Amino acid sequence: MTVPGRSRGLLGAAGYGAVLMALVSGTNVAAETTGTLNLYGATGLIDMPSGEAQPDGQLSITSSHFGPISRTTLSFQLTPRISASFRFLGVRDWNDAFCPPDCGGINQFETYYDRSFDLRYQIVKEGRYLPAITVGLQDFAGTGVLSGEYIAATKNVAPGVKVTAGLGWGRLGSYGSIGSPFGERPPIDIGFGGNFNFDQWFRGPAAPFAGVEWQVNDRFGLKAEYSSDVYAEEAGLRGTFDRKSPFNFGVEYQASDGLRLGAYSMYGTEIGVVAHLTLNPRKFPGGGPSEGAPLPVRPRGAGGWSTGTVTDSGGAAKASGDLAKLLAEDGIRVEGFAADATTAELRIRNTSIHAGPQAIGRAARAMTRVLPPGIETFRIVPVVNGMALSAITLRRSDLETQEFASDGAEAIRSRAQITAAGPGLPDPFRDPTLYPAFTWSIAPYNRFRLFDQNDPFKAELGVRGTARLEILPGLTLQGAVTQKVVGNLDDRPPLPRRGRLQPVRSAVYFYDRDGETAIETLALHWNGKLGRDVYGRVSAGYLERMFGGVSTEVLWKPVNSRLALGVELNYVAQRSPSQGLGFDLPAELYETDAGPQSGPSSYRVATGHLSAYYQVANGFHVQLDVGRYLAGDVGATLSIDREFANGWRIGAFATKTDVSAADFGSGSFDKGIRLEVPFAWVLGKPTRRTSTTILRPFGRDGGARLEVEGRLYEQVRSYHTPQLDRQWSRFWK
Amino acid sequence: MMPRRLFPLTVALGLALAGCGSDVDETLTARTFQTLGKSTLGQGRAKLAAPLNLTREQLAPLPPADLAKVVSTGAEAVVFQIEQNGDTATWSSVDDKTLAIRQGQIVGTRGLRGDLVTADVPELSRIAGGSGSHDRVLVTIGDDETTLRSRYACAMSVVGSETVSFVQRSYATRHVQETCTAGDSTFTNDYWFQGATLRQSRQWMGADLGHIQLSRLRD
Repeated sequence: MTVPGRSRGLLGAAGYGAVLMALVSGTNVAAETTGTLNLYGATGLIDMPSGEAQPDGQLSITSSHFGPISRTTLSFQLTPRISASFRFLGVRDWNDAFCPPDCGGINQFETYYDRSFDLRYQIVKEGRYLPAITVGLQDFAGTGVLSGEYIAATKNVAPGVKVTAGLGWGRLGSYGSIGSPFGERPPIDIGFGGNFNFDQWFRGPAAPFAGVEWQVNDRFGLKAEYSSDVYAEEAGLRGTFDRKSPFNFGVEYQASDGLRLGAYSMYGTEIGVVAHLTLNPRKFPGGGPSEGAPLPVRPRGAGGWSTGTVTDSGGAAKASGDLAKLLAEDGIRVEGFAADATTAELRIRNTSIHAGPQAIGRAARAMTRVLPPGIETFRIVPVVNGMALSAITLRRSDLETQEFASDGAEAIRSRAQITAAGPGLPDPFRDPTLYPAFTWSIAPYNRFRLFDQNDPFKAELGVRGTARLEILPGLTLQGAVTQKVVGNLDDRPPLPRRGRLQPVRSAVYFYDRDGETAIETLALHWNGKLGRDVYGRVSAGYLERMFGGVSTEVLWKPVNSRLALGVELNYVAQRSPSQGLGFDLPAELYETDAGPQSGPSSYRVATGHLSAYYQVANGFHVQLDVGRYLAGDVGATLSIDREFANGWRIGAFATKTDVSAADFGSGSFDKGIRLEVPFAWVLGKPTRRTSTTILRPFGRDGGARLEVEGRLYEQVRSYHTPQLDRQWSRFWK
Repeated sequence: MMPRRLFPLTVALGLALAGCGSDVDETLTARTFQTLGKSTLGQGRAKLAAPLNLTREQLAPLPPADLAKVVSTGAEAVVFQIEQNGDTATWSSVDDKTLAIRQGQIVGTRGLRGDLVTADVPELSRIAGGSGSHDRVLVTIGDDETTLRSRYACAMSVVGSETVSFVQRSYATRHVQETCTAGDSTFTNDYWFQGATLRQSRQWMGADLGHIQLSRLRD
């Protein structure tokens, strides 16, 4: 909410012109430097944005505080020119000026919390004479408390010195306005939130802002700015702080590569502090995980080869055992071996190396050390959950000649064939001791609940025990039990009226409260190949915390294709909040703050989707799911992710179903941000495990999907050509 | 003091917090928090490793061996040849790190973080000559797991006669230096020749790994 500018700023049109002059006439300082971040967690000065961008792929988390205002922002440089931010805002003393007596509506909150999204696009990169120019939308959807649009230009004018000038609308045009160049700004239509406020963008009063940044040395930087934000709501209407001056200035300190700190004088009366944590998923810390060296290729010219054969069963068993021994150190398991006079096929299961091609390269090198000289063709078949995903065919003589070539990885790739895994050579040797296999673990777990209107951060810590019995390749019985140790997830959050939908997700509070000791999952999973390019999955049992039943899936994914199509059909029942074995739903599950609603004592639903997946060549991934969701609503989900070769994924999704905005509640429709982090990147140790975090501004019941483990697509594509090619540089690692 | 009945619970909790079991992947979350905690507290910084302090008596029974040292961390290891493929040999330490060596020049490392994947190097005779120029190509893993191929223009120069000492022996050598440049990236390699034998060298492996010093212990 903004109020048109009431006072003309010190830096009126004349001052603005002077800054522009300074920009354009700037001396020829080396172009394009990386921008620093502001208190909004976006590239900018102190409270104002700038024209610069972050390095491609940069991810940052900013925590900033001044006066009553705290902002936590996650920002991502999605492409070299486009960046996006998701922010959580808190304003303390929100209702002091009104409550009592008026404690209704928005004045019920002592601290006002809100979420917002920003988008920025850099239209001009800095050149010899031209400044970097960026157009941005701040809080462009939803309640629009922070809404503002801007165009900002930044130019390096001397070594380490940058000058920024810009023009803002919305709240960024609220102080020292120069008129409304694009007409009046219509009042915002909030509805249930979550909608784009197209009509408002770049409308209403516009006001100039400007600032200077001086990076004194590697560590210290100084900033000063003139702000065009009058803080009409926070300072003017509600008096949460006193805005005396449009000038902000302060000092920043680069504590390490990934941590920048700042302290500022804000608006003449307040002290501001900020911490920015930054990292770039494109860069693997230290160049990669630490791991043991591979065995070198053993060239056949070396002599000393035994005259044994591997074509009979005894020879195959021995070769398989020798290979298993050599590869055990790398976490590669031999799932099968067969050979004829000239060709050997090795089925491997890579349990730890984060890059598929590296596991294949190590298996190939082990084969050169074990197999008789007559075998020239190596076929390596990666197997995941019993599914043979592809066949990588290599010539042994290429391995011998390219091991130390300076383009060795490319040379192997151009000579390798990656095809669908066929039926394989007859009578493969399979180590009978591999199955059944039992593994277990006891480890801590944590759960978070974010953005609850009472308390934006709630958490729980506990202990999880897991057990996994692999009965046969592809057939697994697995389960997990949890015991809560400490946490506040059982503090009752606001339970708003939930329309006519079954509380398939919004009742999670009852699951947190009643499931201190819980059977989290307990299910039998089967995976297998149904055809050359067709894979299948059946899962039955307690599939997730809130649902149990049967889940089935079929996926079509050719080895060399960037496109996959899938069908998933599930029939599930909602579990009791105590998360034992039952499916009875207590009446209190339907409680809301407005009083109890009624609901069934058990809930069953058929849910499923048709899915299309496409891995775009430039590192983006698109997924479209169309189908019926857990609450019985019908609609579609679009997900777009930026994927990094090392396993990082950062993306957003939105689901629109036939649920009305009123029935959905706050946020109008389901949407969120997804962040997947490879443990290898964080730990610096070889592992294929990743951790996925989903941030939803509002967790509601519309557009909710079953959370079943082991969906096919991510497993299957991990050894298909588009994924292998992204990490082929590690073949000889 | 802790009530006695809480003690087993505390032990169990301690084990659980560390994470244990045969399914290693499931315990990674705990290890992640430990790693993050350490790096935030600054305990994760690599300390300079203690030198090996080898003696001639220890070397006597060994086959030909080199002493390899990662200059930035001080980590040292004795390496032996375990394989030969064409003109390049693989030398390994007992703790499973390897160097690929061609005519005394390192053309690859494995098991060290930020490995040199491969390299194009000149003939050793050009280096020994101490004059002239040549190209050198270093291949590492770059951003987003791409192959990063850096071609450097290098020039040789003679530093002079020097005595090099390690493991209780001294060697009269001729010190030559190679300076390589690509854009604004520059490094220097140093070589100490005892006659025609490359007795010691200090070679650049790329920005992540830095220099490796290689000393020829036994011929």
